[in-house]
Amino acid sequence: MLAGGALLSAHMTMSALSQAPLSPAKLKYGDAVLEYLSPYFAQNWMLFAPTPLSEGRGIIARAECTNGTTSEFYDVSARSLQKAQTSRFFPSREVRLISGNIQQLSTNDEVLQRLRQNRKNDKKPELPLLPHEKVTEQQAIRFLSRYAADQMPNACDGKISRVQVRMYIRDLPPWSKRHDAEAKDKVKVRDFKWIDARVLR
Amino acid sequence: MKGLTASLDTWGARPVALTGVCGMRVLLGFVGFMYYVSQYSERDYLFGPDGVLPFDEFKQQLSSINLYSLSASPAWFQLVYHAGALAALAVMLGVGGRFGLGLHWLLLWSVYQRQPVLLDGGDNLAYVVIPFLLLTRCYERFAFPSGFMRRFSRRVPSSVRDLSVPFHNLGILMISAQVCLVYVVSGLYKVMGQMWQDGTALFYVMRVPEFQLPGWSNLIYENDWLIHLGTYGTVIFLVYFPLGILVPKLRPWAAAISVGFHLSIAFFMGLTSFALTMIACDLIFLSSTLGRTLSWSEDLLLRASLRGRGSRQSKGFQAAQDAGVPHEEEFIR
Repeated sequence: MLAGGALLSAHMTMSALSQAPLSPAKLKYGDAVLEYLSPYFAQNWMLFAPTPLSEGRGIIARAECTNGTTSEFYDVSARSLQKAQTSRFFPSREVRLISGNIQQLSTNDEVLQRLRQNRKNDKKPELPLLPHEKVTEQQAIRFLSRYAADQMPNACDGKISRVQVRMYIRDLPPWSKRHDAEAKDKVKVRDFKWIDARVLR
Repeated sequence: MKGLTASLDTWGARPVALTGVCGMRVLLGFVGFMYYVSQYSERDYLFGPDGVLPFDEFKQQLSSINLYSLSASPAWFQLVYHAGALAALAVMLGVGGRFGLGLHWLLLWSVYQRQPVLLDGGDNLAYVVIPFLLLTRCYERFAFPSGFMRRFSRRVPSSVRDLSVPFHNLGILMISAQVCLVYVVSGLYKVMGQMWQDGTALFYVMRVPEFQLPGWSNLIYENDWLIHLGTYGTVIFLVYFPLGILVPKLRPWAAAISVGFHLSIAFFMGLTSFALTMIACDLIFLSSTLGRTLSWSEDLLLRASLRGRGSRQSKGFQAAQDAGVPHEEEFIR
């Protein structure tokens, strides 16, 4: 009985350590703890913290037709966003196909995050993506491109040869400008490379 | 020392929070079931072998056990998906016991990992606490009695059966610790964030289109007082939650605030399953309240049905009232 209790408290201690901020202890034991917890007890409780999501993120996309013309941009996010907002009882999660993959584009490795932030503060050149980060990024871009292509079946009358996704991040007016009717959103975009429609399916 | 052994003895003899943990099982089963139902019409696209994450790519990215990876055939996919929905329903109704709960965990894990970008903190909590739930006697109440399980448990040697109470109590302790970890971690990281310190975090979160309820969210984020109150209230509540749980007198209040907090998240942010999963875990702290509410509503129902039949059977009414759900004592004193 006591042995069971001890095992369980060891488990809980490891869960707690996996959630602690980066520290010397975590640098030393973090990998071992993660190896024990993941995948089945992997957890992340930084819910909307320390910095909550504060901007609108989404994608638009365009297609290149087999006849060489290029379509207009299509708002890929609109439909799934609408679906999420119109129900309050287990609403559709489809919008997370987009937001979840956008999140995959930035690393969740604490050490790398800290390193990149320090280099930014020191005004040193940005650290390039590591090989495994590049793989994750390629997977996410591929996923988003496939989803975008699926969402615009009428583009090019159905004859798409390539598709390009543009990610947008829309900064809403800050707290200080909440009463300013003139305040506008600031939009940043990032264009991904064109992807051949045949490799998506 | 004598006091310690004595309290260990009582702790090993009486299962704590029984009603609460049974309610938790029902609610978790319901949320799991709704994961399948709410995405039923889109299942082929979201989870199927020819869907948005094709079978080969899914298999390549997979790094854990998964029933969906066993075959690329659409028929196998349909079979596993429907079996998952049925297993969740069985957990909710209280059929199948620990074996059914373990099977539900496997199927749920599989469907979660079939499309991991869909997951949120609620799903994370669900797959982490179900193994602890396996330790508890969470099928004792709100369950369809199954003759098979009763016959099976009679065959189990008494030395193993004697362990059931200590195991149950350990399971409850683990769930409580896990829930407290969730609240404290999410609270402390909020303390570290600029927007939470400024008391404006709610203003920013509630305007994000993905978490907005048009026509309602603006009622909050356009009101400075509500924003500050909500933001600071959230942080204080999350950080102090474990204290509220440790002090028996505060326990139902802490849990009740948590229920209210998560219901408003469900309404304003559209995170129904996240909120209900959190509420399910809160139920173990509301065990005695839940027991009282149930026996009270049972009384009410009985009284109403008896009034319909006339006062001749008032003797029977008294007997039925006596047989109501027994009041449960607070757990861990």
